[in-house]
Amino acid sequence: MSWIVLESVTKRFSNVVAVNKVNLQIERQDFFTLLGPSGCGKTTTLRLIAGLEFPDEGKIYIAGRDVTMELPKNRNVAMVFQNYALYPHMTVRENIAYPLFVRKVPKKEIERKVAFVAESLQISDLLERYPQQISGGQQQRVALARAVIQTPNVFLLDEPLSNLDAKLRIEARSFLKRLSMELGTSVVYVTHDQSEAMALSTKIAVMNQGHVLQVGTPRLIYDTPANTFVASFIGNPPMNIVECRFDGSTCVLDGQRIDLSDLPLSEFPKERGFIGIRPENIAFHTKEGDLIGEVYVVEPLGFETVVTVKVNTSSLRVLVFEDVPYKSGDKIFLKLRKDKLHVFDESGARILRRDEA
Amino acid sequence: MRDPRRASRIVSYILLAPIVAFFVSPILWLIVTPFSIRPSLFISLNGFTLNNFTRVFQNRTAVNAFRNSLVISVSVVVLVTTCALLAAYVLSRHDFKGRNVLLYMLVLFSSVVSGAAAMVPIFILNLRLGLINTELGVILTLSGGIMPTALFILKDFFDSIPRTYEEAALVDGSSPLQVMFRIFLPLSSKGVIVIAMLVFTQSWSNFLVPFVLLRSTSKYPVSVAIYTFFSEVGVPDIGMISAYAFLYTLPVIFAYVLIERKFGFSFYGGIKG
Repeated sequence: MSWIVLESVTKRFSNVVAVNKVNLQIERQDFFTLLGPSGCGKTTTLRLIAGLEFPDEGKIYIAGRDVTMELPKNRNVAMVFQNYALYPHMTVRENIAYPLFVRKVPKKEIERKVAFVAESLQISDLLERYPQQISGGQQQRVALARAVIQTPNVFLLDEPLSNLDAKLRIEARSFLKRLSMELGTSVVYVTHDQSEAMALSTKIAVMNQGHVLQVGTPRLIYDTPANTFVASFIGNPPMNIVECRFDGSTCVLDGQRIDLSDLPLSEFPKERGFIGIRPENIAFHTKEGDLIGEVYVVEPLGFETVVTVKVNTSSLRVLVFEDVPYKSGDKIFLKLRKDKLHVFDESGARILRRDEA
Repeated sequence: MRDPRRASRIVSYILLAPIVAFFVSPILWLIVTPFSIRPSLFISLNGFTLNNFTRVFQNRTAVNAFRNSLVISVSVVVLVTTCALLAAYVLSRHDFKGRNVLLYMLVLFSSVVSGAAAMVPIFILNLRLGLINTELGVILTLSGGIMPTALFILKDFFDSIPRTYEEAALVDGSSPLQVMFRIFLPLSSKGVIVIAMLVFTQSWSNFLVPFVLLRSTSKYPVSVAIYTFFSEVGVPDIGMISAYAFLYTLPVIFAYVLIERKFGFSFYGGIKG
């Protein structure tokens, strides 16, 4: 049995189904990310694992024990909240010591552990201050310290980076990854930021409207998204997904035909369907290509350049890593990397290749 | 250069002056008159004396009334604060069936039925319960009157305390009782103290309830005892009344200053976002 198991867990708030028959298996060494847009049920899922909400249906197991209806204190979990929730009437030291204090750990040991944790998170000089007297980044470290001082079965992190400014967030991200390797137990992480999910996780579960759409390693989800939602949610800039008509193995996009007969697909959509291709898998060509379009916007980002190209009524984003001599209005050919092209059926589900089981 | 706003400022001063005088003069009278040799209804200090206070302290009814007021007010504070605290916590933190209906009914009954209009039924109720001329009757009646207000203010205050603190404490391994005593009460202590303060001033200054429910002079609180300071012919003893009123306002002012000093009426947050 996996370390944490959710078995067709459903949670309703009055008439809204926040989490709908979710099944998850999280292993002990996993850095497991719940990823999705706001309101998709990811935070509710985390709160269900923490014991702050109780499911209407289904079962939850942590470390092989059924904890479905257990109070949080009987689950041995540690959680970092989005707003850190540091107790404002306690000093940093008291905040960090609180989980041990309520578990009646001897004073000597608490002191020793607080000193150790504070040292390793570099907040030793802040111990006598109050939470409102330290900066956001420091508050985040204190919140982490309060979690890591315990030896929980699982660490639950609810968007811990979202309150930090962009520069600090990148720093904290690397720090968090380093920390998670030393924790030695599973981490469940909630975020709406796909780059955070990609950078940190060993496994990602993409959620939308209470459903888990796909679970897998970041690479797997990036390379073989299960449907158009996952495909467009992961990656920045996101995957180009264009609706088109299929004529056998030929895709007709606003009158332009793309021959896809080389693709070893199990089947092609009957009539309506979608093709998806990531911006970095499209190349420019001056004389020939699969599609002809018109440059719409050029956005140089320093290291890379994002070019939006209009192909009749659809637009495609192209990511290139050199300067482009084009300007708005230029006619241009686009070459698509066929091996990186995905075909989705009418309902948005990805059509498997013959070599994929 | 003349400030173009000067004219309008002068006008507003002229308009404000009588209003200020209206509010300030009773307070001035209260400060000046008790120390005056010939106390009158005018604000005038003609010679300093403590004689009025001496007379108050020699009066058995007056001294007793202070004790009575204290017993009544402190009892009401303890009763109302405890009950309102527990009720407001439940109403703020637990969403049970019929909660909103209950709250609505409470608002309706507490605001629509004013204290004075309910005096006759309250009197009859106390009579039937055998609580006429007892301190308990006064305490219960006053508590019942103040409770809804205290409850609503506390509930609103509790609603403003983010729930994440309590959730964090739960996940950190606390039992629900530990959450209450280690996290929730310290965080809400300011609101509770403000409510206790409010309840104290309300019950300390209430005249109607003890006046209607109490018969014997020895049980009168200060607010009613003042009323007895008339000479045989019905002329008010202004010296004694003013000295007594001065002493009567002191505890309230003292309580305000103490709480201001100690807690300051502000709330601090540790939640970011």
